[in-house]
Amino acid sequence: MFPVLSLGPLALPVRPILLLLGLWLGLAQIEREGRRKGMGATLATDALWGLAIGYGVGRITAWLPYGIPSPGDLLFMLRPLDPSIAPIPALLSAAGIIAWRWHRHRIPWRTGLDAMVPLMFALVIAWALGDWAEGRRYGEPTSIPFLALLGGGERHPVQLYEAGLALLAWIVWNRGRSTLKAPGSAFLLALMLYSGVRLIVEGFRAENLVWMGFRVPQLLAFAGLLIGGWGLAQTERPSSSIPTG
Amino acid sequence: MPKSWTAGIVLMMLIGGVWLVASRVREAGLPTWEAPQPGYRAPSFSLRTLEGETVSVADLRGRAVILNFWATWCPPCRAEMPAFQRLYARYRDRGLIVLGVNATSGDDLATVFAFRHQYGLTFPILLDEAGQVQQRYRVTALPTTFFIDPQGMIRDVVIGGPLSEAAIEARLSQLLPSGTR
Repeated sequence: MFPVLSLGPLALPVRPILLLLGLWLGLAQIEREGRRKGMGATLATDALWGLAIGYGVGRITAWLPYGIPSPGDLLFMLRPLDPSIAPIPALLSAAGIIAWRWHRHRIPWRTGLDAMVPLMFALVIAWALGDWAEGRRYGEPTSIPFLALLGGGERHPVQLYEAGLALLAWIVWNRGRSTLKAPGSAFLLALMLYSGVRLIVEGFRAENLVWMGFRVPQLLAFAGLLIGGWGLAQTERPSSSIPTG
Repeated sequence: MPKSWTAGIVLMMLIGGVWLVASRVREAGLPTWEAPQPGYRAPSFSLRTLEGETVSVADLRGRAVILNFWATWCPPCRAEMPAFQRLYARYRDRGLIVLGVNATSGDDLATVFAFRHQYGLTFPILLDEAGQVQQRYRVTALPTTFFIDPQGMIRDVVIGGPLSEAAIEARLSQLLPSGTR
């Protein structure tokens, strides 16, 4: 693949560049949504704070078991070339920071979640393309005509499936959300669509965590599909009286 | 909510459930190819050490290998060498081997000898005199470090440095059968 883009004397790492592009695209969408709702750039800055702190916490937590010997190591830990990140502390701290800032800015959490969806899709697409660029998280062996030479063999280009399906899900979400009325429904629809994408994609992924023959990410995605579908049916019920805050 | 939405949600759940069961893990054979990328078998090579012995990467199956491309004139290479030495001393008995591939085509052999003595390096220093191994591993910047598991598969590549001891150890824990604890 092409993990590094060589431009004269510069060696530019492709994955961090893609992630920054995804971040920019997602934040621009959130800002537009925020302005539409009369919140200015508050939603976007809240998301940026959450992501920045979540990234730092995730990186530092990933290294904690090995100790932090010097300030120089701290600098190394925060540089974007290295993909090691502890996902659960990163997500929890990002969610905590965003929730705290929404509370401070009196942003209803369902409205906030709805607005965050474009960022989620943009980052998923950027992440998948970054995996493709670096040849990570590759697919199962296959002999299909559009196979990829990855991971020591001919494999499903599962990262491209993920990016393509996430883009499709984003388009479907963008069309479908206008028909939804209750706050939080757009997020639940996104959860459903994203879970569907992961359910399909993880079925082709190699080296997955397996439990009783089932791939664990697929089980989690199926749970997301059920929660999203059930939640959507609840919030969009004609008699539903979900508060807006 | 329109009825078509309800039907769509139910249909998605049904298809999802069927796919979940249909895509259960099955064993599959996999040919392995050589390429200087994570997930591929490490390209084979043989190089002479400073002592004149020949080391071949194929002979190192069963051991975790850190393959570090370096040169004496490269400041980050110099900065990360003590960390490699400390980890080599700590994990050698548990199956780790560090190979320092010197870019001899652009370096000076006498300086390499003095460097090894100055830094007290005990792991093998290989001399890539014609630069063919750097080409084979597509090394475009120094230092570049490959982490190779006991099956000979590249697990990680770090372009640039200096790598801290904690950063190397974090990757090493994925390579050694018993981890680094």
